[in-house]
Amino acid sequence: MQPLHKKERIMMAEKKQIIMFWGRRCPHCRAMEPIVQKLEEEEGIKFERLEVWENKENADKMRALADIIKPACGGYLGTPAFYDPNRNVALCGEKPYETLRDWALAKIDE
Amino acid sequence: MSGLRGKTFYRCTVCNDIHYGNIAPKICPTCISKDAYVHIAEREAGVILKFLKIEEGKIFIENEVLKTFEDFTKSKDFTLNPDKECIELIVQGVLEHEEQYGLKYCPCRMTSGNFDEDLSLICPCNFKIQNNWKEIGECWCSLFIKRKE
Repeated sequence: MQPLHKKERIMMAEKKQIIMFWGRRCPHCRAMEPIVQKLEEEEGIKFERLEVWENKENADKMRALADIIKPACGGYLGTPAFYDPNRNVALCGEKPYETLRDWALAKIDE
Repeated sequence: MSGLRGKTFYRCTVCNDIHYGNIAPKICPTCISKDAYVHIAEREAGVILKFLKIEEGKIFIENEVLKTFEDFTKSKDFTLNPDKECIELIVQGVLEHEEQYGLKYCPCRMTSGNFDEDLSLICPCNFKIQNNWKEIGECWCSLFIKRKE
């Protein structure tokens, strides 16, 4: 994957909406929150945060994506799980800023 | 909770076999795993064996759960994460899940909704089969980490 220029990233981010499935007692979800906030502020990526243990509807949404999320999470519905509806792909677990940014801004054919 | 003549319950973290006795079996008679048992409360045993409802019986409190986790790491190649804040969050999570859903489900993995399938999510789980353990020496939620040589 080629690194993107800032302008190009912002243009792509304007169209981007990433779903973040998280659990309120999950330490990795807690660790990812500042990174997600930074990506929202610096790159303009929009994250829809869906807590799965307290909200049954969110849990069902996550379960409905099991075929996509489980392979990305080592065979489980792990949290935090990031889902890109445009590309129909998932990224799972605690990740560095750059990894999540590049994944979130990847084009459909990447 | 101790039962008759000090007997209590133990769960095999690999196959969820339940043992009632004075000490944990060294070898699981069901899956032949070694040193895989963890001390559990009566209700957890009852819910797994499907003769208790989730609102019946007492569960361990936070300190008791922490002690069972510490005991579980004794003489093993893994230990508890030294990050106390991380441990506290996970223990609170598993206790909340036990209170609400009947079993100490991992706070970092969502249940599928299938009771039997979700038995694999009870903490401590069979984390040595996970990629996380093989790659970075931690269980998925980082409660248990590989002991340094």
